[in-house]
Amino acid sequence: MAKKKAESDDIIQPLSDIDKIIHEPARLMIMSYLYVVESADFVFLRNQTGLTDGNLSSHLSKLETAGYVEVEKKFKGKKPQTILKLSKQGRESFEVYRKKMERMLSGLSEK
Amino acid sequence: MAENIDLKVIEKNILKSAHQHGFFDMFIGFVVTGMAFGPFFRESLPSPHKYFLWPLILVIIADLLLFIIIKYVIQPRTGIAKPGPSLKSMRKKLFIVTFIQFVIHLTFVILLVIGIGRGIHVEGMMFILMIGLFFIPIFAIIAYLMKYPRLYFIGMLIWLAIFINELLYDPIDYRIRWLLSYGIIGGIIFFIGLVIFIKFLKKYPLKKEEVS
Repeated sequence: MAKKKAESDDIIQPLSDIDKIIHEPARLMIMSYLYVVESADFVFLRNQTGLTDGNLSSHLSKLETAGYVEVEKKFKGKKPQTILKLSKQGRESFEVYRKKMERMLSGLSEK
Repeated sequence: MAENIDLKVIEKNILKSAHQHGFFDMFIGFVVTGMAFGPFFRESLPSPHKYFLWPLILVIIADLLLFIIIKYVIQPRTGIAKPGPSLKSMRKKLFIVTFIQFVIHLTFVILLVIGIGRGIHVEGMMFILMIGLFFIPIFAIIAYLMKYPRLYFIGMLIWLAIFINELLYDPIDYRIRWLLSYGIIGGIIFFIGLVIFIKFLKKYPLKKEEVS
């Protein structure tokens, strides 16, 4: 019984190390899109993720505060344009997150 | 919002978003339909290269329209993304395929202009087969790389236009023949693109507060 619990703890333990900023579904979606592109603007991300303007802004603020996303605001003519890209730290954190999740999920599927 | 995050699916979505607006279909439809009007207009073009000038004029007009529509109508609605490494490598493959296609076309044009190959007559079903072997794989490769399934269908339709044109070679006047083959098929491709484009405009209305 104790051995089984220890095994289960080995699998579940990495959950506590998971980056909770990235782990939230909407932010994970944003990070994934920004991971496969070099940069994208706000409109592109909104269309691809299906998030509302307010929701996307709020998640982007959290990612920016965590240092994962770089936000550049500029004007195109008279209209504002927001360009977003993953920072070096954001890219590395996303890779670490992916590896941890892969390891944890593959461990669960074997049991 | 999708529940499963798969980077390959995300890349596929990004590729699909590049042609979801249907304007590429309209672009191809415009050029094919324009070809149908070639016999009516090309006689007024300067010789000796009037046969190549008409398609060239069509492609230039279509390219200009494509540039304007993408910049001022499509991008403000879809947004802009700079491709990452794997998307860049796909673009490279796409460039190589289209470059090979361009080189083959150019070689044909040069051979015709300098007179080599005029003695060779490939007609009837053999001509259709050769054109099919050339067109369909090129369209299929581009469709595969761009995740653009409609392009398989468009490639087949263009081949069908060539087939109809060849089938009606003797029975009717050549101008009517071109209208019936390239005109109708080009019109179908253009119409499909137009329907998708209208749906796209309705799905992505322009919001004033943020532009791409």
